[in-house]
Amino acid sequence: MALPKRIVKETERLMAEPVPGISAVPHEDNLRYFDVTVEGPSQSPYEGGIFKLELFLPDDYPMTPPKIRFLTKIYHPNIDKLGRICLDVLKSNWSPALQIRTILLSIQALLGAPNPDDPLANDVAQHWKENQNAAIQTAREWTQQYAKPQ
Amino acid sequence: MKFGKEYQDALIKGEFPAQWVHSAISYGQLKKCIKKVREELQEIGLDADTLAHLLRACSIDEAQVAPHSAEQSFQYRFSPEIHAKTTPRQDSSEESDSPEIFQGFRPKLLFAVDEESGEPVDAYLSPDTKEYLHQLAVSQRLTDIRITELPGPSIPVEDGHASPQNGAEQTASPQIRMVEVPLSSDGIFFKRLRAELSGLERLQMEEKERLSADIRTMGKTLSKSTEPARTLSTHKSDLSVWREIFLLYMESEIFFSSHELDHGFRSPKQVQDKLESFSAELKRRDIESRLKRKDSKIALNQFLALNLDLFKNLRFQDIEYKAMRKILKKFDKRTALGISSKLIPSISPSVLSQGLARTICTEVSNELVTLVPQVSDYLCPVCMSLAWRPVRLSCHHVFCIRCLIVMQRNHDDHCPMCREPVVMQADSDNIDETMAKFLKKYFPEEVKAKHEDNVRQAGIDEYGEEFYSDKCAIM
Repeated sequence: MALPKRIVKETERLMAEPVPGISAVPHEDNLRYFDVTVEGPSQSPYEGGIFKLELFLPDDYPMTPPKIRFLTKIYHPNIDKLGRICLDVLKSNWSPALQIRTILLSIQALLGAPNPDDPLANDVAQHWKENQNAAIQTAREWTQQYAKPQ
Repeated sequence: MKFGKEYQDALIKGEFPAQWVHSAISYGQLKKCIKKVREELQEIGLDADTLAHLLRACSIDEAQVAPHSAEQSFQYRFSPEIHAKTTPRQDSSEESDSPEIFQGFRPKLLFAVDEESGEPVDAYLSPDTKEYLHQLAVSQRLTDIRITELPGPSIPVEDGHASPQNGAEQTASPQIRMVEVPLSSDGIFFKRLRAELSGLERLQMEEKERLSADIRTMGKTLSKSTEPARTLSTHKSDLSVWREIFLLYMESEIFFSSHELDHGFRSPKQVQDKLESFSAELKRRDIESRLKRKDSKIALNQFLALNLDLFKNLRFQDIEYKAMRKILKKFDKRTALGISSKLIPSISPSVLSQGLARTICTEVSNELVTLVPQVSDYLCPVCMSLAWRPVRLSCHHVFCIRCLIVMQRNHDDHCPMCREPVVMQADSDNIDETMAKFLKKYFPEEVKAKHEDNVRQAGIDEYGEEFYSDKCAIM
């Protein structure tokens, strides 16, 4: 099936005017599949880390949201061991007027503002609530260990 | 290379009109003025080193005690406008030929001396200088009528009757008063600089007028040549070619960038590169020969000339701004009177700012670019194609009919833009006929393409993927 015009346009704009701190490059053999990197926001425990994600645009995109998953290990109450993300705009609050760039910005913002009251990784959220400083310290260590650019 | 030489070269090589070069800042002359100021200061033992030392001393003092305290041993500032206007000046020979606006612009060098004895308070000064200041204090006190101290804030106040030349000021502390060291060459320097800056400001205003007039003329030509075709056979319209030109122009972002990464004004070098690649791209796409109307071709050349003109203005401003900063810095370096930090912020916003580029670019987009509607302003936010046929929901957001049908089929009731539950209630009454008419008139080709696409998608929905494939298929 031909690639919808919308996906072509979004890809072009992502290449021509990249969002600072975010990159998304489509695979040559599958233009619906993107390799994504997101820089950890400054003044967060993820600062200095570069996180890899995979992004896939399903057939009925933009009527359904893109599928996104962290590939880099990350210690965050709303991201689980498999890299799945708990974010409302990726699920019930998706709108077809949202785009790849806006969604990736939302994910970057989620790194800056973890929400342990709506957890996906229960153990991490528990840790976050009981001892926030220690949890942040662990997040920092994981960033150093797994998210450092080679 | 020295800046003075560099500056001269830039003015000569810039191919600027003679009138501009004539109004340019006379860097060499101003440099001579600085030399005179320096000599004058040296005569009374106040060379740059001494003043720099005093300046350091008072900034340390200020950190320890309240500002405006008696510890400030000297100040260099500009007298308020009112004095120069109401009181006669002694050096009237200079004053007579200067225009009205420079009257208030007279710098003053003030030194703190002991109220009783007239002895300078700063111990760092050499005996000769101290003696000089002492003499000055005594003689100035004799000519003063009366020094009054107004109640209220501790800002130094001056008696309205005292002429600025002899003006002695009293600070909050009763033991200290300020005595003015008479200097004449610094006045000449600032008067000259000021006059040149206002000359430049006038020039800039004139240029703005001229460019605006050009834009309006071009706007008239353009509105004729881009008028949508009424009947296909008799009327030629260059609407779509002009759309391409302006789209390319806006994407080039020649004068400033709106990108997230390099937001703001571009340097003259960047502007030049952008302009060159813009005209190269126009050539590559063979735009000029694709324009069918004669007046379109004229308008295109006008448009290019206008941009070159604006660029020339920007380059000139850039050079002049640099010259102004350099000469004020030089003044500080030679005299240590610390003036550039005070003066540059007050001058830059009005003169030699990038205001010209901003105004002209706004006018270009208001007067010209809006004559040619761009597709990007009429896209459906879901499929990012032209919103044909346009459906306006009760929340006023517009989508193409195709995307709306898909949303209704999925029972997505929420408007993609505002999440109002209004999608399901939309029906054929929601088609925006006024907008449909407008789109058909201004985007005939795009409407046709989108219409065909809508039909194809509907066919695929009904009969499957093979419906519109190129291959022959048995259904």
